[in-house]
Amino acid sequence: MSERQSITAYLVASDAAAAIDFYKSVLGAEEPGARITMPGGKVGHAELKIGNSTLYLADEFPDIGALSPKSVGGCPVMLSVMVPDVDVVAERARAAGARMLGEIQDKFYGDRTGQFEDPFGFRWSIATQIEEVTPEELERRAAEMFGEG
Amino acid sequence: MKEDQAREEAAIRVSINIAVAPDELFQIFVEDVDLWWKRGPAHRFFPPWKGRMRFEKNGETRLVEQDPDNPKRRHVIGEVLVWEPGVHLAFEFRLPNFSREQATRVDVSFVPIETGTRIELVHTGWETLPADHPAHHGLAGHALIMMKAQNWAGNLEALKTYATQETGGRHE
Repeated sequence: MSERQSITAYLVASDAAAAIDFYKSVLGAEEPGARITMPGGKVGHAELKIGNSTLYLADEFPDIGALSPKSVGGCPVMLSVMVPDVDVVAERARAAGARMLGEIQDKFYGDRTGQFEDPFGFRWSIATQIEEVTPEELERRAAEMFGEG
Repeated sequence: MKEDQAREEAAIRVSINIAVAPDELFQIFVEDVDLWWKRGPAHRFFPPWKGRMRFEKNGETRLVEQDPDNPKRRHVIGEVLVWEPGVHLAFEFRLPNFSREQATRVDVSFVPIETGTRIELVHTGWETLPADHPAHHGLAGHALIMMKAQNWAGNLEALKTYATQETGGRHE
């Protein structure tokens, strides 16, 4: 029995094949497993590997209640992913049709991070760790930022 | 035409990329079928779900599972319909609970890609069985297709693991 991660997001996309291509080109996703294609060509099930995590993905199937952000009018869940270079990934995302949500910023907790909404309506937070921050230093910076201590 | 449409609407399609060249992967598929084809009740054909599988060449070529301790105890999964090494393999696919005239068909295409081979497997004919056939496990439509497809997905992932280990993931 293979070791599987405890929580796996299952994305329902309005065009799953295009979404898979987007995640491959923008986030460096790989598709090591088998892809199931339903009659008519829709993706019934696919598995993507991004870094050390797995993500499931399929097309919309309204008959079984599988609806995408495009159909339900948004996505209340944000996917957070660590990337090697947040600026490079953001540029790739923008070029591939994503909508950037604010600027990429260095954060007090040691990450450089930004957010985008991909062409399929999913929101992503992308981050690269740029410094190791000790708990003491983190507390000091937080107190400074939020005016306490 | 109506039969074609019904067949297409019930077709099981599963694909996977494997870093092995088509000719070599075809050879592994047929010669080592017992080694990579998953064991267990979802994949093998009679208890204890670990009989020896092979493509038996005796006049016609057929895919069989045979009890190694009792060679008379065997199940013929089906005759080979297409044998084009490195390109296309097709065989009938019968479960032990099929009647003589019932059969489904598996087509496996070995498509060359930059990184090796994309296996494209299409399993057709489930719609020709009665809706209450035990092979349907009480399922229909999307749920039936997904159940059959998940079985094949697991099997092809087992093929990928085996073939990659055997060849060191090389492709030429």
